[in-house]
Amino acid sequence: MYLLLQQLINGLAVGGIYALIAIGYTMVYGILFFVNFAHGDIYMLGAFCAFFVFTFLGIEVTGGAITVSQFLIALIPSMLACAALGVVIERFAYRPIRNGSRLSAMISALGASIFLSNAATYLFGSQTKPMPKLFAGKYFTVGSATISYIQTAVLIVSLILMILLHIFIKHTKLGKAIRAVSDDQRAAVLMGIDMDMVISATFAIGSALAGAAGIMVGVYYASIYPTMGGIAGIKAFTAAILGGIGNIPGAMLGGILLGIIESLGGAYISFGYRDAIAFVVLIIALCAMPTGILGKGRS
Amino acid sequence: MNDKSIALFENVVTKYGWLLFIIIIILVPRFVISDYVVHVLVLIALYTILAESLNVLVGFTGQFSLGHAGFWAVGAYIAALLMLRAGFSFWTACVVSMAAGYLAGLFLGIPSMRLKGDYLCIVTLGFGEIVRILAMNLEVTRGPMGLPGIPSPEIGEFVFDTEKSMYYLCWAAAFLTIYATGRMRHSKFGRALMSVRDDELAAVSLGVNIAYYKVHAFGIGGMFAGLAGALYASWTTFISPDVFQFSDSANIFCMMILGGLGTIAGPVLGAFLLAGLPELLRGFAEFRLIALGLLMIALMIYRPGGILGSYDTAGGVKKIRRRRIEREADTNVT
Amino acid sequence: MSLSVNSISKAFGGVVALNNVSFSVEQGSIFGLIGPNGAGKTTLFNIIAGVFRPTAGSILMNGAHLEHEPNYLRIDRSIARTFQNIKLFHNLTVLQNIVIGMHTKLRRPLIESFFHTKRWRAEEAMARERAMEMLTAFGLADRKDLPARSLPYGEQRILEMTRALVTESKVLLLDEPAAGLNNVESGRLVDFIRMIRDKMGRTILLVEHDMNVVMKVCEKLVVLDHGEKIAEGEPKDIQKNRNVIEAYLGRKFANETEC
Repeated sequence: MYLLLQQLINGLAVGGIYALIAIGYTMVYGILFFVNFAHGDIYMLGAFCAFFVFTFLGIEVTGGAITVSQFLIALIPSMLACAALGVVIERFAYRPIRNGSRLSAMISALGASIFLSNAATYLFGSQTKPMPKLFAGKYFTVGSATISYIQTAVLIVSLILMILLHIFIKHTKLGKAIRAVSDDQRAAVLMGIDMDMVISATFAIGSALAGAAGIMVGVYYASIYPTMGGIAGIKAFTAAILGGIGNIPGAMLGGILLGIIESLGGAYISFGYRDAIAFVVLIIALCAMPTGILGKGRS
Repeated sequence: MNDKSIALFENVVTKYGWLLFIIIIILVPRFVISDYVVHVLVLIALYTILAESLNVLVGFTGQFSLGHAGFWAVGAYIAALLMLRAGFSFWTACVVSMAAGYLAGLFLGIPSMRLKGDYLCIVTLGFGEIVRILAMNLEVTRGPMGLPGIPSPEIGEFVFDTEKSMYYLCWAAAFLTIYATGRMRHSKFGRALMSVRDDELAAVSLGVNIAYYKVHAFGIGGMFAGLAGALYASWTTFISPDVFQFSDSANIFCMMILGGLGTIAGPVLGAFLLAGLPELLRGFAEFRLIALGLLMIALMIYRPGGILGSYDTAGGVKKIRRRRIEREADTNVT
Repeated sequence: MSLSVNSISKAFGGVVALNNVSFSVEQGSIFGLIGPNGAGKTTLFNIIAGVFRPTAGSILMNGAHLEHEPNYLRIDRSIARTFQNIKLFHNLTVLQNIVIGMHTKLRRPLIESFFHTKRWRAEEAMARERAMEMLTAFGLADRKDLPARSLPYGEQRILEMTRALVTESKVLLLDEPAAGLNNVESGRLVDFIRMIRDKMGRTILLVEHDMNVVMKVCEKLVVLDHGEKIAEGEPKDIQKNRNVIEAYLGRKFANETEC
């Protein structure tokens, strides 16, 4: 029973991270109908950004610890930097081929991903870098399940960001424009919505969330490396598809669900097969519901 | 030049181009002493097989697959295990690998009957990852330690244990793949695949059983990737799960696209570009992959059909048609 | 040949698109399926063509039930179709488009194409020859090596029909063949459809909006409204049918014409 609780908590924390990254995939897909493979690398750069902020602040990164305020100080500039990066990538790699086929957009995105991860390897070195810990070693117990502060923090920050996004999308003018474009692009343009603006905003928001996920993973595992975007990107993409790509609540749901499935599978079936279990579930889920759980039904 | 003479010109270039290419490939080891260059060329041969077989899926049939490294891994592991544990000769192991690749393809093809585009993408991607994770965890594959000491192919007394001998063997297999896919393109089977790619509904209305063709496109793609896997295992004598990553699937996919989707020469060119150039530019170490990323973006902006491609991807077609309809409408008014 | 539609009903979720529609198409006739927008004629057309399965009822072709057969077997039942928004294989040449029309007629297995066996070559040569014959007959012979997407709209329509004809199916289903054509072109279309029937002996069932074309070419009509059959008969009778006028123009207009 407590094992189950423990795994649920672990799954929720990881799932929150997946959800944050998945939102970026799903928002871009909802508007431009292609998979932004560079998204995972933006997440990686978010983590590195935080690393440099910590170094700049003079915090000991190896085995060091940070306070909540230091974490927030790093979070804001990293998110901003990622947002800017997302906008720049869209401007140079995707905008010129916006009217082309989805296949070329996909290849261009793969190119951008290769560029970013290798540029990062070149600039920062390929070795793993240490990150300082937040709430190092602190935890509380529920029965025999241990729940660390950091897990709780990750979950809370993810939830706050998702709620902020929800408010933004539902109640601001720009948010409504994004929804409109995602619903019917032509009608939105005819209504005078500036497509370029909406697309830039979409990339900025998605990338900022990915950046936030990057920092949280950094302080969660206390290590970062230039190729960390690869597997996390795949997982988040999986989460986006599982929830029904193009659908923001779907991405959140898919992320949390994937996190939980993974940690339960890892605990009850086999830790080595943890990642495989997630994919098997995904394949079965897709064959049963070809457009994901909350999918738009568009093929 | 009118369209007819262009077609004729292309025919001649294609025919003699291939002949010239074969001759060059045969002669290269005579003039290149460096084992390293030969090594890179073997790698290119294997990637040619992989890209060409993926082309059957994506280029001919229009089924996205980002899990081709999975078939490659299936072929490599099955061949290696049969040779190491069951004492099979390379040749039998190779045939079994191809059969296994084919079956794995049929199996992966089943979801393709229901899923399209990005959903199919993620399922194939998942397949590749599942295969890798299996190889990582199964006892028989020895997990991350991999399988060392895989024997080389032998014919009687002759052992393919040098770079040059493997070079000929792998290029022979590559040409076999190129020949087979080229022939297939002009057969009933290949035409049916292309009809599925261009318009599923129209294909069905003409009696094409699209489920059958999609599944078998996966099967044939998997079969040749299995061949590449068996050759790879025997060539490097060591395989581990690290070799068959998602990035390899993506890499193979890019080779196929960059050269020219749906063409026969395209994937070969793509293999040379993406497997060859980075190796030859080793002096520039980190820059080569950075440059590769930029090159891919630039190509998609300036030549979205690939270097040799004339094939218009869906978006392009729609645009052309719309323009045409508009023009027709204009002429009708006047 | 006999094609009959027996008490077909179709519901999408809770919406009833077709309710108990029956009719039969005589061999060698040109049969029209008409009705105002949303009458269910496209749904019925798609059921006959095998795209949808009916909720109830049956489609009989020479006594065989077709309603639950997979879509791709329609050709084996000798039923071919065209599409309202022309569906060609855009990246393939005009000739290849036609040859795919002979898909079910080509029997040699894939393996023979690798070795270019004599039988395989003979079959391919036969297919090309037959395709060229058809292209010549419909004036597209000099376009044979062009990609289908490069043809002008009118020729794309002809190519699509040629492709359906080369299947040698007895029944040809035409989905709004006059869509996008101007007056001159639809005039030519009428001659073309008659020629297919007269010279090639095909039975034609068409769905069409353009009443000019329908009245000129069809010999028998079925009129649908709100998923029900409201009239059946020859064009001149249909034109006077009160139910039909009401469905198209409203009750008020129907009363006025009667007075």
